[in-house]
Amino acid sequence: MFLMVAAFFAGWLVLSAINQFKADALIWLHRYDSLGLLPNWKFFAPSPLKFDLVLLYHTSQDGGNGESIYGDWAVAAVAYDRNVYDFFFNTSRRLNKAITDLYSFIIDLSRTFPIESVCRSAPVKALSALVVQRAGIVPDPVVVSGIAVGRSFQFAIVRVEGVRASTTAVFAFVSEPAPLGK
Amino acid sequence: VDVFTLTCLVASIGITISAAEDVSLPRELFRNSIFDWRYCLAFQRARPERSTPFYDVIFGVDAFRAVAVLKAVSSLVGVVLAWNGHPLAYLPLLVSLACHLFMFYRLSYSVDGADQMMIMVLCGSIAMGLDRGTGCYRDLGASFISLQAALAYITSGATKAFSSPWRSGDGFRGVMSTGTFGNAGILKVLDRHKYIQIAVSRGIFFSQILIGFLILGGSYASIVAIGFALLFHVIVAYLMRLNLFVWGFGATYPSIILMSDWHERTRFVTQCLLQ
Repeated sequence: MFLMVAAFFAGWLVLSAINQFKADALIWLHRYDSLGLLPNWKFFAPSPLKFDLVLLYHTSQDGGNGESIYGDWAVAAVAYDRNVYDFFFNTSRRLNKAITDLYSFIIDLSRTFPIESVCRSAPVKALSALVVQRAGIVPDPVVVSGIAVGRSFQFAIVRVEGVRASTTAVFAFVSEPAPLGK
Repeated sequence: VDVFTLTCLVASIGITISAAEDVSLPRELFRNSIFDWRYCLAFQRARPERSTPFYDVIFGVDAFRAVAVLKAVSSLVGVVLAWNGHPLAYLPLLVSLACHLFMFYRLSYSVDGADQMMIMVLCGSIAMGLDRGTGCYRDLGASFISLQAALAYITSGATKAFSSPWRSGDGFRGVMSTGTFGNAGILKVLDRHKYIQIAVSRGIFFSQILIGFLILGGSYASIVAIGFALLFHVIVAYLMRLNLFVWGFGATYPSIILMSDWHERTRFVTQCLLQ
């Protein structure tokens, strides 16, 4: 029994070490690692996080002749809310990390797949749902043959560098227009 | 207070804070929003094919909160049992680990290094609690936790040491310029004095590597290492809001102290293996 437990821990330790310095060798194993048992201890390296993320959205209105006119971009969510007690009890930790993780997935997908496919992916759907909820967008009630007519909606992920210094903002991802049907 | 009890105590504080943070997440984020299980589980290889009322219940917000509370309560029960020397003290820790892993699976994204270190600590603690009489399992669990901690510090430091932004000082400055992890006062100092930027950036990865090797060095070096490490995590928690790293990594320190006598401990574990 002791030997088995020792072998289990030794094997886990070896895989953890390989995962730090030769992660490519374990890609096959990552597919089965649903529980996060293969740790990643590279915190903020090799490329440190140098930006914050802001989620923007805008909705369109029917401009006649079948054209859509979009309003100005508005802020739906920022991923860097801070409270004074965060050093002990950080309530926005999960949400901010989720937005950052989903952004990374979307950027990775965008390198390989066309925008239409990326917009159908789970990371885009998850962020899109958050934006709709946070912005308080009400679905359009006008639906013809199951398709919403009238308004449509777009969201964007903006990378803001130097929030605490000279700020620059870059559109990192803009979703395709989606109908605001119920 | 023995190493098992102390590890359980520090880990349970971190687990309770983490669970309270999870419970405080707004309900609406779990329904047609970013933490809706249909989006989260899309990242998992093994997942429900379609939405059913059953899955809505087990992956819904109420179940998520119940699991978070169970995780915290079971870890606290584990501390009480460990404190009283109960032979089954590892059982509540097993429940806490199961809850922790369920949340990893359920969330898929938004988990971080502190959550991962807690898995290592819980697994090592369960091993420690298996047989408190002979000490074989205690030393095995403690050595696993210590080596994972050493690996974490060395990896984190070495990866930064091989990264040009970190060597040039831009790495630390970049992090400090963000709203998420940064600090306006420190950024102002860094921008005024480039040499401080370089010194702090390099100091971070040198100290991380040093802490890792001091842990492996054993003896008094380990005690010095955890002194440095604790200070480092408290500063990081204050500046960068990475609060749970204090507890996730702090829970490894009792094991590191126990294993500071590597020579003797390794000989003891070898004897256990040969028995």
